[in-house]
Amino acid sequence: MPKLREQFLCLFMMLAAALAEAAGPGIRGAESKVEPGQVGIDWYTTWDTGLAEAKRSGRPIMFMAAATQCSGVSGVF
Amino acid sequence: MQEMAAIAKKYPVEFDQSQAVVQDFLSLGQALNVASADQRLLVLIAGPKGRIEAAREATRPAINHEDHLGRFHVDFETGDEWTKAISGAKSNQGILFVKAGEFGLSGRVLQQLPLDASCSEIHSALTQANETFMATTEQKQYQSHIRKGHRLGIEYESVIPYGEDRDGDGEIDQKRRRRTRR
Repeated sequence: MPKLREQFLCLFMMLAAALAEAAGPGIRGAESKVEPGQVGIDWYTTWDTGLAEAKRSGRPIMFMAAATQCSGVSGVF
Repeated sequence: MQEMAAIAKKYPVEFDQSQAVVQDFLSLGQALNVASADQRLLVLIAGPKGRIEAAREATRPAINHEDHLGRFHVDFETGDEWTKAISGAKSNQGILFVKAGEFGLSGRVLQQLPLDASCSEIHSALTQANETFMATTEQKQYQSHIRKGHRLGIEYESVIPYGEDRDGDGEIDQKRRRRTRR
């Protein structure tokens, strides 16, 4: 994970978030794979900041968009 | 992961991580929601616009320190609006380490530094606050958490209306249509 994080710029557009489902790092129904306060993905959560950092560092963007409707999609929430 | 690693190999770059742009959110509400869901502390940097822009630059090395990457979320706020959702702040500006509420609709300050705190002060406070957070936070079970939210009637307003255009009439249908029994 840390190595990929260094190479990719992760941009998560929080287009919508339901309750606290948003950005839950596991499959719905499961407990998070990351314990509270431990290292997870270093997301950028607005396009402006993500794009600025991509230009600065020269890294490609891994873009992920999700909405509350995606809560039934395995691996998204 | 292997596919991501293969793509990343095509873009070999060298850059200074300590000067990376610091994350921000579109709103405090969104920041609290995501911090609660990810079970990370929220670093809220609040103050007048001019000082906030200076803080965006000054805090880069501390927030981008390898010990802290991926452990926090960061939000910048101007004005006083944020004080409605956050309790325990000593003043209406500063660098605040906030524990989001169970459903991400409110937050409580664990620690606060002045806006002009040094990078080493921020670095130490991040470490300390996260230790407190880890020791006092129970890992969420998403399924029971969501069930509880529904039961309590917790609502989160977002820019996208909830639901889908299930019948293709161009309008978002709020709820799943029930089948009529015959």
